[in-house]
Amino acid sequence: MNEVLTVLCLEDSPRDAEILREFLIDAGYDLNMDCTAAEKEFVSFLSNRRYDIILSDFKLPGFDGFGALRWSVEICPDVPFICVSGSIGESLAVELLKKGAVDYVLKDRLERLPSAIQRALDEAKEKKARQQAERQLRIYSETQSKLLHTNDLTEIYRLVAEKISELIGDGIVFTTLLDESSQTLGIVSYKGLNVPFEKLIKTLRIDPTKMVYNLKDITEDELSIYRSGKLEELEGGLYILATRRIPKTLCKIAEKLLQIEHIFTMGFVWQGVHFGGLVILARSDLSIYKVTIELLINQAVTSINRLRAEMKLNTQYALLNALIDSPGDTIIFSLDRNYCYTAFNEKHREEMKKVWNVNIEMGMNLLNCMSSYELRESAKKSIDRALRGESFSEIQCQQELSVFYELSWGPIFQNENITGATVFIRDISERILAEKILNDSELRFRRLFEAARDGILILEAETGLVVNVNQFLVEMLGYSYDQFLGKRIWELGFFKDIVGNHENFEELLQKEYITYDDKPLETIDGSRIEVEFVSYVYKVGNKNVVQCNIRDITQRKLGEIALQNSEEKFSVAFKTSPYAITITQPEDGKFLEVNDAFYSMTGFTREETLNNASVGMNLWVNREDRDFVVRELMAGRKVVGQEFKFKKRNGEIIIGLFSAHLIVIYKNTYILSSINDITERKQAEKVLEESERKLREAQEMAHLGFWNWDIQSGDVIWSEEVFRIFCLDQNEFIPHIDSILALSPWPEDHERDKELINRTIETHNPGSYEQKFLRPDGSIGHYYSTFHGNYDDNGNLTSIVGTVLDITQRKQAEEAIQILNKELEQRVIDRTTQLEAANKELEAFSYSVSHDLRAPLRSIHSYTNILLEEYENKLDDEGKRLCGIISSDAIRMGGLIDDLLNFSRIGRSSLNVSLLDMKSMAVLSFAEIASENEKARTILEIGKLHNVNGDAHLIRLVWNNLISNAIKYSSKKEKSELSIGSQASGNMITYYIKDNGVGFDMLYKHKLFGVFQRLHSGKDFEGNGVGLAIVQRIIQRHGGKVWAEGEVDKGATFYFSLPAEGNR
Amino acid sequence: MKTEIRTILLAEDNPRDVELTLEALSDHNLANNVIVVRDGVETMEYLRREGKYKQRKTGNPAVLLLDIKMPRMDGIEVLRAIRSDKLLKMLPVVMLTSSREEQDLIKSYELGVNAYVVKPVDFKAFIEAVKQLGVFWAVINEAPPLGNNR
Repeated sequence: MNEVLTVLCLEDSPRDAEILREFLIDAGYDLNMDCTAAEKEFVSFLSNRRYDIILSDFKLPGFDGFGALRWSVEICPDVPFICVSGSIGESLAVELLKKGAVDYVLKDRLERLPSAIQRALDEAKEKKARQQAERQLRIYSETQSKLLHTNDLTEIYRLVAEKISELIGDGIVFTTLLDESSQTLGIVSYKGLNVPFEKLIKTLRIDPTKMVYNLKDITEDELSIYRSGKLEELEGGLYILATRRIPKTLCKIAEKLLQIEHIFTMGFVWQGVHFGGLVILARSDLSIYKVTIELLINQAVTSINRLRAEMKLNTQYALLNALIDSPGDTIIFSLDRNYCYTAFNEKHREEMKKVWNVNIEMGMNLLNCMSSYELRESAKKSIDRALRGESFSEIQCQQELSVFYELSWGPIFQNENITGATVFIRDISERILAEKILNDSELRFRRLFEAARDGILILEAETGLVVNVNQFLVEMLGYSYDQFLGKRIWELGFFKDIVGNHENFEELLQKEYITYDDKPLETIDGSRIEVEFVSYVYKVGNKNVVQCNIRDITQRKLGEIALQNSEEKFSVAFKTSPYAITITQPEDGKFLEVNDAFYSMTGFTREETLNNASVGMNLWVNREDRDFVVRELMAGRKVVGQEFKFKKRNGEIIIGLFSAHLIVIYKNTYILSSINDITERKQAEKVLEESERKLREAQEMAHLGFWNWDIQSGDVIWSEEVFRIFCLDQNEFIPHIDSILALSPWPEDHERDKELINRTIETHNPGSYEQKFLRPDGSIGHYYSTFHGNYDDNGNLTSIVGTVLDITQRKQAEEAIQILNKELEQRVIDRTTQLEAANKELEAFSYSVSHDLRAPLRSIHSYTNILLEEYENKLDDEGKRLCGIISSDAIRMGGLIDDLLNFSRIGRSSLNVSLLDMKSMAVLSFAEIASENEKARTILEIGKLHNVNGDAHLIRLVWNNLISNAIKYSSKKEKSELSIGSQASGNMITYYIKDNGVGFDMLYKHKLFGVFQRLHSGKDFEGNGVGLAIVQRIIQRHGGKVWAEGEVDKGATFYFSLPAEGNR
Repeated sequence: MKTEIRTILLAEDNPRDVELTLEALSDHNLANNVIVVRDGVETMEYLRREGKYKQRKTGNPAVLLLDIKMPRMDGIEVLRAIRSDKLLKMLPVVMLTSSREEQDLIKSYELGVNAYVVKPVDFKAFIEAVKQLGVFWAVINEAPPLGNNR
């Protein structure tokens, strides 16, 4: 074996201690043993040294096994206590075990000791490990559930520091953090109340109120190590903590001052960037906590990453919102598949108010806001197209309002599914109007020219006669000059809708200006042409003349406007789209046009792009992707929402959501494509996935299952570990709240759990519960679950998530202990009953003796005496002598019976405890016992005698016996010298009576206190040997001890001790 | 007034002790006035003039010398019965027993015994003790006033 065993041995017999030592060495232990018999020393040993095991005798001077056990349980409860005693009754042994001793071994059966020690050591080790593990697990699961809810970065740091500190018990925990710009290093939190933190910061000259220091205080080398996350490579955690120029020696001193022997450091890394760390300064070895600490850190990092990912997503969302509101003259809104708003900008809100008098809100149905059936249908048609995945633009003219809109429609993709549609709407009417006015003024300038490109008709204002008509109009309408000239305007049939009657003409004359563009003219061959008809009146000399300008706008309306608008649409879509949009040649990807978003996304300049091709620029990370796109498009299929990788100008790879279709421009076919940079979204997704994976791994490592209960559907999601705990097959068992409840077929448990969960939900706090369950094989298991609710914005419970831990073994151990305790209690009850019965018997026995044994003796004595008196003459001398012997022995036997009864009575009567004045008791006792003669020849010296709690009658007997002994055995000296005193030590008071009498041989000291044991003959000193036995019995009943020291002819000292605080 | 020797009632089951007691009392001619009963039941019969003592003269004895351990009804029970009997409760009762058991002493005094004497093993001491008892209770002591009227 040869392991070092550190033993504290409590043994008053040096011989027994030696035997014990030899025995353990023989058993193969490398022994390191402290041995004592004194309580004070025992306590001091316990307090100052760490022992593997305590071996204690039961009977000790001034002290017993219970006292020793009390001390050891109080000072070091983890150290096993074994009672090694010469003799110990079963009830005492049971009492010891109940009070915390792990075992007891009889001295004459020491061969049992090594196995007892080994078992105790194993149990202690196992108990410690179990406690340790349970504590770690508890802290871990507590922290985990707290971290899951935290939305505050600082709180995460604080929590981790606090929990790790709680875990290691004695140490300082710092967490540090680099800010966004990586410019500042701060001590975010610290914990560790058992170490004087003030002392540390004072030594290191850290100002705790300004625990943020600039990185310029730290060298470049140190910083790079720090950023790499390998904190442990830095020289001393303390040094980097302060990030100031602190001499290393100062750090060393601090370590020494605080007795820090273990430093544990760890960096937090996210996406390859170091952003913080953890430093633990501890006095004890951290290796047993290492796994849990790392788990906690992983958990924290996961939570931090989760928060960061969420923050990033939020930022993106905010950016998108900002983008929507940025172009002031563009209407932007998006709808979900139910035509309800998911976003809109201010412009759109105003427009809807103006046009439809509706105050729109998020979630409102767009179609319901439009009161015109036709427009509603047309809008629905366009939205549906977009929802089918089409990106397109259209122009809407509201001519009665002279308003033109260009609408760009596009689908919204999420995870390759179309979840809605976006619209960019631009009001382009102003531009169109401006164009028209320009055209009008040009017309006026050209009226002098016959060869005007517009038809011109000059009328006499008074008569309405056609005075002149230009060639263009003649050609336009196909009529001859003659058909115009000399006619009144209302006689011209083709003008009848315009100024073809008197009323209209009169109106014209009054207004002096009139214009139409919605009244087409009919040509001679019956076809209709769209015209713009502008008439105005002016003076030529004294005459008012009407000039009518008629422009053929058929082309413009059908083609020109459409084309212009299409260009507008395109440019708007180009400008406002957050997506990179390109028009490229299918064969080599040569760029025809790209938008600004493309430049900002890829980093290329306009010059680089337009003179180049996507292939030449290596825009596509995989050439095959482009080939695939071209192939698909050429085959007449669309490419919508595909994810491809693109390379930026600086070589960085981005992930783009790519859509493309073919367009024809001037008979050439091009590819119109859009790229949406979703790199960050992807990264955020990846980070989320990663953190979920880490969480899962952490849970698996901790054998912790995870569940998520959807309250609405009752469906429950289980992690693999949960299936393992319940011994169920993932492919067969479908977790649902009903099927899970069926696993624990105890209705009363369900009620209890339900109540527990309800209470937790009400308070919005995390909760926990324990539950037993049935395994498929019929055995019963136990699990422990922590959980918390998730709530929607209205505070309604939506789901409950939680963890599951298998605690079956722990439960079984608890049950086993309970059963064991019950058995033990039963045994104690049985023993007590037996003991009571035995006491009763003894009482009956001694009662009987008291009455019946003496009557025959009296008869023997009396009749012998009668014989002697009445038959004196008939008895010879020998007869008389024999009668004398019978008579005197009968008397002696009577005395013995009396003593024996006294002795047994002391053991049986109950103690009547009160505070005793020991000094007056001793004085009185001496006065009573000593004869006048004895008093005269005795020098009595009484020192300090402590008062003590005890039974007055019995303690008086003690004094009487001891004082009379002292007087008796010193009676042969010239003068008796008696010295009486007391001394308090620990929780015992020791009294002594010293005489100068005949003393005794220490060899027989063990016989002093036995019943009827005598060291001196009755011839020398009278007595029957019950006195000291009575003394011992009384003192033991008071929880004390009696012993004596002496030497033949050199006097004797008798000691007795009593507990200072009285007895139980 | 001439000295009247009154009756002593001795309750004792051990014939040897009876003999020794009578021997002790005979020295002062007290033995003739001793009535011996063998157990508690007989004691009560005598005192209440029941059973075979139906015909005896009225009047209580000067003293009852009562052993504790007796068959059928023991001394303590007899004492309790006497003390709770309206006609007998003033009767002087002396425990004359071998036992020095504390519980016997306590019970006896609680029940109002007039004296408690432990019979010594030593013959002379015994004779002396009983002799003194007899003289004290049968001769010196004044009987309770109602006791003799009955």
